[in-house]
Amino acid sequence: MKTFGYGLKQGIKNIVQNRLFSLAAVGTISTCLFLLGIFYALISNFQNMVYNAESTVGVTVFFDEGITKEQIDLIKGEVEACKTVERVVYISAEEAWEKFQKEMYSGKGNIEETFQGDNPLKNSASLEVYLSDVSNQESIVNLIQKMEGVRKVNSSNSIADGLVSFNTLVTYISATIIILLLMVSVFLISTAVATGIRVRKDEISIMKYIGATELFIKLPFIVEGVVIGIIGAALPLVLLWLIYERVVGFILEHFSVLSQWLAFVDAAEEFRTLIPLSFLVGIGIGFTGSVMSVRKHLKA
Amino acid sequence: MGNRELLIQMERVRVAYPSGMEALKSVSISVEKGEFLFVVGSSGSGKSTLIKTLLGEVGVSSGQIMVAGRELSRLKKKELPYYRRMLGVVFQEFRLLEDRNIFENVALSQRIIGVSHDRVKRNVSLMLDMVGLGEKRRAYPKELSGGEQQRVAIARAMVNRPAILLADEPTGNLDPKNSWEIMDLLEEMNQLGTTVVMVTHNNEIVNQMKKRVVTLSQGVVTNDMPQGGYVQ
Repeated sequence: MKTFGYGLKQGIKNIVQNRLFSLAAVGTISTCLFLLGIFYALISNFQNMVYNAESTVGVTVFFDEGITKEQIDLIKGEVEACKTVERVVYISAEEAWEKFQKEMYSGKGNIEETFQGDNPLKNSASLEVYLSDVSNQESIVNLIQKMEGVRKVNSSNSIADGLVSFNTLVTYISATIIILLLMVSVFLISTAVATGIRVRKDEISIMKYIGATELFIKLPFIVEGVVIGIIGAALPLVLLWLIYERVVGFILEHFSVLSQWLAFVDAAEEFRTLIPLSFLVGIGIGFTGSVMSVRKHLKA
Repeated sequence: MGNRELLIQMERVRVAYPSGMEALKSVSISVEKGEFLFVVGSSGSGKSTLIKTLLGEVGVSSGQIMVAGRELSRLKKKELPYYRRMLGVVFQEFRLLEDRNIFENVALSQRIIGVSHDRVKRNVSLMLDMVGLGEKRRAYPKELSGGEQQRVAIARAMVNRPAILLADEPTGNLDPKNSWEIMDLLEEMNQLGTTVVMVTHNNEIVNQMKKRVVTLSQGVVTNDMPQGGYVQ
């Protein structure tokens, strides 16, 4: 415990003494974690929107002429049994016709009179299939198409594919940038710690003569790296917290037309994951950088 | 030598550096508990290597060194710090930490062995009073004379009450007056029971102190006198 107290005190002293390198390291970690936060917010919000879209983007199944309700129920059962199918809704020909009239001819005269009670969509009973994972849409469509009694399957492949591939693209780009910045951060922490070791070379050699253990000598440098990591993680979190709600509010206010698609994650929920993630990455970078440096420059 | 306990036993110690240079060639020296020993010799005679070997900084190529019943070559890497706590070491160039005051320089030895805060305060104050620097506890090394800095170094070496004090040319950078003050202090530590092994070039001190003198020449003990004088 006393060793830890001494290590903490000396580690903080090291940071102050090597303030230029420490600042550079804090700055890089902050930039890295700020970008991590932004990408995380983008990805999580995008996923939220995809999830939202998945509940509206559906697959519509039409049947052969003359199919009975019993046969449709059988197909419905089979579709429901598929793994990624969340729910299946049966739309009868009458319901389809009513919906069509409401959507297309609302306020434009009495369409019933034109068709004199006939249902032009009498062969348009359908099943609306909603998926829990939009990326499986293609395989589900292929499966349904092979079912007996199925005439046609409509799906919004372009929307589904677009959502998934955009999400993947954002993930790859952000992962690449973050990994590069992580490497730069580790290098800078390692350099800051190495400078501290050089500055305290005499002290380290005296400490060894007096009987200091490896832990006692190395701990201040590990603490230095970890503290830089913690500071580097805290700064962007504060900044992200300040701007997140403002940006979301701004988008919702100025782009209200898109509000039905823009389903943002609540700030508290967003930061419930982002705070531990940032600190974990910050401490990880600090620990890795300092251990690398200590191993290289403090050989017994 | 009487029936006193042997604290250091070096038997046929040979130390060769990777370059092939032999710094010590079959050196055998025994030091009793409470003894005061001068090690003298010209430059390159192996005096500093002897100190480094006793500190565990340089390994022996052959032979054996026993210190307080522990064989040095059998010490594991993680046992070395604990072995060194039995030793105090003083260098010619003081080697104080410039960014810490006198109190903190001496306290470092205590903190390393995990002494509690209150006891550090008490022990360091006592030690600084003993070396005559109690009033200057808040001063920084640069504010002190060479003699005072060496007294701080002795306080740092002695505050943990080591069994052996290794002093490598402790008066080398000091004028005669300060040199004698340091010798008085080392004598006092010896009187209190600490075994002192001191490497020196100062023939005046060696000749007046009338202590045991071991002379090294080209890595070999050429003289070992119980109350000797300086022999080149």
